[in-house]
Amino acid sequence: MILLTVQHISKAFAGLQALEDVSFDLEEGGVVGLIGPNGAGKTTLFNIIAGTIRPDKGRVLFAGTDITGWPPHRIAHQGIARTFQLMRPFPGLTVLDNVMVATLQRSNVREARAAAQAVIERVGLERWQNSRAATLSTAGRKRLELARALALKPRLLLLDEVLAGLTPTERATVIDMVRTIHDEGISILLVEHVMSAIMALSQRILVLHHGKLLADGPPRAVTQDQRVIDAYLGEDGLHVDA
Amino acid sequence: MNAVKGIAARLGRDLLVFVVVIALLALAPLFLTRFELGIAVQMLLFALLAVAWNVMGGYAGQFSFGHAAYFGIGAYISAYLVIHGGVSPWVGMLPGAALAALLGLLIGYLSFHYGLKGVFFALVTFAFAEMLHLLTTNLSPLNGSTGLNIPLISGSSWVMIQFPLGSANYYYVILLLLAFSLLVVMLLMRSRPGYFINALREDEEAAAALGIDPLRYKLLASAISAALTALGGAFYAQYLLYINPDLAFGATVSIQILLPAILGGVRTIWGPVVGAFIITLLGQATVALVHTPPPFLSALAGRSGLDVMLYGLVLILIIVLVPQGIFGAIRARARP
Repeated sequence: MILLTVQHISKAFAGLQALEDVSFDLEEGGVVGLIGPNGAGKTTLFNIIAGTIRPDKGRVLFAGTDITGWPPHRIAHQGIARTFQLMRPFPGLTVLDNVMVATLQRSNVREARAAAQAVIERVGLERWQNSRAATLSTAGRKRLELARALALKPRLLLLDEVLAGLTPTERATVIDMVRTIHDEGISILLVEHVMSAIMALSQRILVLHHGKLLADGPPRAVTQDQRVIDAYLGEDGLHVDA
Repeated sequence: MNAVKGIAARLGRDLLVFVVVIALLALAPLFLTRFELGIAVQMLLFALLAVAWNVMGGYAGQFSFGHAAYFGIGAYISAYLVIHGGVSPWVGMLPGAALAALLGLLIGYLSFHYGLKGVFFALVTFAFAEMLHLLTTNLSPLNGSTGLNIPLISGSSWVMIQFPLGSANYYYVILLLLAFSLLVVMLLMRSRPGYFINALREDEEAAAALGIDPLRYKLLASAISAALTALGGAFYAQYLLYINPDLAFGATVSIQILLPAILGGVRTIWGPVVGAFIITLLGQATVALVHTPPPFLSALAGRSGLDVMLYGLVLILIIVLVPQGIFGAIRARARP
C-alpha cells in the first residue's frame, strides 16, 4: 500500500529554487534513504511533508488524504513524526516531561507517564529520566529526539540526520534502534550523510541534487549510477562517510 | 467526593504544601495588629495577581506588560454592577473575569497570529491597558477620571463583601481567592494543557511537530491568566470601595502585578507568593526606615522619595543577584 505520495513539489526561497518538480511514492513499511549534497533540498522536503513549509506547487498525500498546507500539529496527529536535524529538545523540561508531551496526545497524564517511561527505556535514557534535557550530551539528545518521535506512535517517521555528530559506537546503537522501529511496521524516510548507515538500513534510496530528484532505486543500483557518483559520492564513493 | 480524590491524586505532595500554607495563612489574623492586617491583605492581593500573571508571563513565556487591563476590567465591572444593580461582587466577579478572558483571547489572537513575541508582545499588551485607561478616563457613564464610589451599606455583609474598617474578613476573602487561583494554576500545570503550555514555551516548532496546536494552548494560558487577574481587580475595588482609571489601568499596576512573580521566581507555583511577601515587606521596611530611622541613620528622617529609591535599589540587587527569583533559586539548589 502507498503511504506517502509526493507529487510535483516545487519550492523557491527568494528566487533560489530549493525543490523543483519532485515526485515519489513511499510504500508502507519501507525504509527509504534520502541523500544528496548539502543544500540539495532534503530538509526543505522534510519540512514540506511535515507542514512547516508550504510548497509553491505540488501536493502531498498521506494515506490517501491530501495534507498539503496543513499545519504541523494536524499532520502529526495524522501519523507523521519527525526529528530535527539540529536537535530541538525542550531544554528546560525533564527527559520524562519531554517524552510525555508526545504520549499525552493520546492518553491522560497517568497513562502518558507510563507510556513515556517505556519509550525512554527503549532508547536507553532511563538514567536521565528526571534530568533536564539541556544537560544531555549530543548522543543523549539524539536519543531523546527519537524517543519523542516514537512516542507519537507514528505510521511514518522522518529522521533528519539522527547519526550526525555521533561516534561510531553510538551510531551502531542508533542504527539498531532504527531497525527495530522498522520491524514494528513503522515506515521510515531518513536523511543521512553516513553512507554505510544508509546502505545498511534502506531498501531504496532517493537522491536529491539541486532540488531535483536525480535517482531513485535500490541502494546498489543508485550508488553505481554515474550521475550520483559525479554529483554526490565522488570517485571512491566513500568520502562522505565522515 | 470523587472530584476531590482526583484532585488529590493529581497534585500529590503539592497539595499537602498547599493545605499547610493556606492553613497557616488562615491563622495569621489572630496574631496581627490592625495595621499589619492591612499590609497582609495587600500581600495576598499581590500574591494572587502574580500567580495569575505567572501563567501567561511565566509558564507560557508571553511577557505581558499590560495586566492592568484585566485587573481594571475586573474592578470596573464588579464595581459598576454593585453600584447600578446591587449585584454581589461574588457574582460581579464572573462577568469581569469572562470579559477579561475575552480580552486576553483577543490580544493573544492578534499577537500570536501576527507572530509578535518578546518586546513587541509586551508593547501590545501595554497599549491595550493604556487604551482602556484612556477609555475609562473619558467615559461619562463610568464617571471619567473621578472614578466609581461603591455605596456603603450599614453593618457588614459577606454577600456584598463589605466589612467595617480593619475587619479581618477582607483578609479571609482575598485568602480564599488566592487559594482558588493557586489551585487552578496547580491543576492546570499538572494536566495535559499544562504540559503543552510548557512545551510551547520551550520550543514552539518542536511542540507543533508533536501534535500541539500552538495557538490553542497559548490562548488558553492567556485567558486563564486574564480571568484570575480580574478576580483580584474585583476584590480591590471592593476593598477600597472605590476605583478610578489610574488605580485600575495605570502602568504602575501592570508593573506591580509582574514584579512579585519575577522577584519570587517565574514558572514555580510558590515563587509569585514568596515574591509578593518579600516585595510588600520591603516596601514597608523602606517606608519605616525613612519615617522613623534608627539613631545612626537619623539623617534619613523625613526625606520623602528616599524610601522609593531604597526600595528600587534593593529590587535591582535581588534581581541581579538571583535572576531566577528567590524561590526559583532555592528550588534550583534543592534539585541539582
